[in-house]
Amino acid sequence: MSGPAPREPGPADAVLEVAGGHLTWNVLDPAADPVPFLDDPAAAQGWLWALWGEAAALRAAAGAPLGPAVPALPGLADAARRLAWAHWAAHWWPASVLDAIPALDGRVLAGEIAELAAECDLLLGGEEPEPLVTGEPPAPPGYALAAGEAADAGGLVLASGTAGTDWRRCPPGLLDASEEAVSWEITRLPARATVLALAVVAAPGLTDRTRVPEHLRPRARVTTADGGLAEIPLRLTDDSWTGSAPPPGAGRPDITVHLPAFPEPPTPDDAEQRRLRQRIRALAHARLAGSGPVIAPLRAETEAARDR
Amino acid sequence: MIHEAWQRLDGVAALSGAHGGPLSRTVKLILDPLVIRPLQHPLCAPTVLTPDGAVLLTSLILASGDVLRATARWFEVLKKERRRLRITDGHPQDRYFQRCFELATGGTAPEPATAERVLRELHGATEGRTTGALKDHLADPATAARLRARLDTAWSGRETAAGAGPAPGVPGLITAVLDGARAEPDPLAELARLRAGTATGRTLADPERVPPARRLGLTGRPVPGKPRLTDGSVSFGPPLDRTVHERVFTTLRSSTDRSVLPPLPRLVTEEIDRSCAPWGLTDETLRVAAAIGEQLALGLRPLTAGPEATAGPAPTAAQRAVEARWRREAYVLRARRLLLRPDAAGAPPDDPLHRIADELRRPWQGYLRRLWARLHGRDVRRAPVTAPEELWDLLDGVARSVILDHRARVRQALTVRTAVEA
Repeated sequence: MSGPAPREPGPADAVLEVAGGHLTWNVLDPAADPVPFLDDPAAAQGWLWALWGEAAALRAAAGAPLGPAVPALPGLADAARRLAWAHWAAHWWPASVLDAIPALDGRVLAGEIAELAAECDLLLGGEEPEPLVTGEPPAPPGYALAAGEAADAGGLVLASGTAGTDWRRCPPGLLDASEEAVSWEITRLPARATVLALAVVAAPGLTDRTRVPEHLRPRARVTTADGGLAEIPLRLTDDSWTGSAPPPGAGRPDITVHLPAFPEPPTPDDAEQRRLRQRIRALAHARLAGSGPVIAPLRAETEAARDR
Repeated sequence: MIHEAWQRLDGVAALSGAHGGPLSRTVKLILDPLVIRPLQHPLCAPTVLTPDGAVLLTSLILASGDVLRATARWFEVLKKERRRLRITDGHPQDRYFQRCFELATGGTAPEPATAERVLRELHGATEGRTTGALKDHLADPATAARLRARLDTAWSGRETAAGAGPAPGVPGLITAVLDGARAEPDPLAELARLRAGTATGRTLADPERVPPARRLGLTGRPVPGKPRLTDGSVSFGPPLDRTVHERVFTTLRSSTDRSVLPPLPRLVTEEIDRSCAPWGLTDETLRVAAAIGEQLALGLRPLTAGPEATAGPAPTAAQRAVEARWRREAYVLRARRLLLRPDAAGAPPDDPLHRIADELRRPWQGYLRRLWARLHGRDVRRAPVTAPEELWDLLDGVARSVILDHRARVRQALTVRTAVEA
């Protein structure tokens, strides 16, 4: 009754739940129509006419595809996209000290989401808006840690490197979103033992003064080309997640930072994912610079840009 | 259509949304039930109207223009008085819309003194129906002794499992209801006629029942026991283990207007009888709804993304609809970076993730607890469920609230609070 099931949403998808289904915008192409998924087309009739136009609503009622959106209420269509963007920003904004992308204030964002949800009442069908649990506003950045501090005991550095993290493997607010957030070092210690030490910069505002419950502590999965595998628990040291272990095999380690409770993402963290993350960072920079966005800046973005 | 007709009205801004149309609650609480009334005007019922239906709908709305304008004025006055009286209880649209329409229909001109009286009525008229008064009532030794005697009588005289379970045709009828089948006679009415709700409710006392009441999450014991009058606290265990005190307490707590409830002593005696009845409910249609809800709940397979998700189609239309809701939820959760593996094993039992995963493994329990709470509320208000649409709204509403609750818990469990611990 509603076409094929949608593919899994990823880091660039801004999703708005509406009566009868959901709408998905691509944040990298915000001017394009959202992709609708309607599992209850009858419930969607309350708003389809407003966002897609009367003719499209009639097509949908007859079981035909919607066709292009010709909003009868363009103001509502804008508000809907803005609300989807605000939800996206609350969960995927690539906050990073390393990339100079400040975090958005969760409370400001939550207030804005509530206002936009009230404006989009017609779409949401009078259901209570999605609740947001927010932390305190982020503390000013105080990044100080250098790579591999844990192994800084006078050993011989055999290899080192940096890497990013797959945003789909952790909830927001744990890790710095930079492609260089992970740094690792393999060191031979004086006692001739070899150790792999790694540090992942924590999300802006998160330090070891924050009590993070056990179930929210990420781990690093280290694999090597020769089939070696190690799971390294991480703990907060200053403003980084750190851990160390003997290298599980020979060669350059491949590091995946993940929360054990999270399911595997539907696709691997490949070059395409890294390009996608890079484009999202560029988008965040452009928005903070205020360069003519299709979606006008949220208050939380304006504040973040001011504090930058 | 509603939107277009609405825009031809002036002076209804208080009932309108940001884009000139009526608010969702205006439609749900005023236009639909009080102005358009699709049951009386079947032409206005379909989601896509015929030209005649559109004309009728427009004329119904425009004909009510004066009353709607007065409703809007009343709502503004009530909101202003609400602020002045510093009332924060409840959602003003939910609480006042229908009362405003009533006042407007009665022709009373909006003015603050009446508004204040109305607000005090809506918010204050508990007339002794408070949780404190309930506690005192049950603490009185003479009253408590009398009530315990009544409880003993009600329990020993209860309809027990003796005799047969539900009639042979009952499972098929329940499936027909869940499939939305239209048949003569109407399967829902047929179930009530056969007293299928009573029959299934009685079997809850049978430890050999499949599945037993304990597995349904309705009791923590092998079978539900005689309810106690009170144990001095309100802790809200499984529904059928709750004391009479707890049951009346929830009635008071969840009632938006206590003035329509029976007086407190009668609330208590009615609850005693109810607590000993099959399913803990007195109305047959509500017992039937519980039996249907059980079937629906046992077929739930929430968020089993991956291979299990394709383990075959859900058996009934209702189950497919609820599963569609869960699929939608899985999509939204992934879009919000709020995911949990249903097998999040290895966590200690007090870990929030463990508890959430556990609920997902026994989804029917949360569903039935919520359904029972709603049926109980309806039983107290004497609101039976007779129309299939009404039953579906109820069953679907429970599914929605289970899902939203799940989302709130996952969000709570996965949110990093950056506030520094003192």
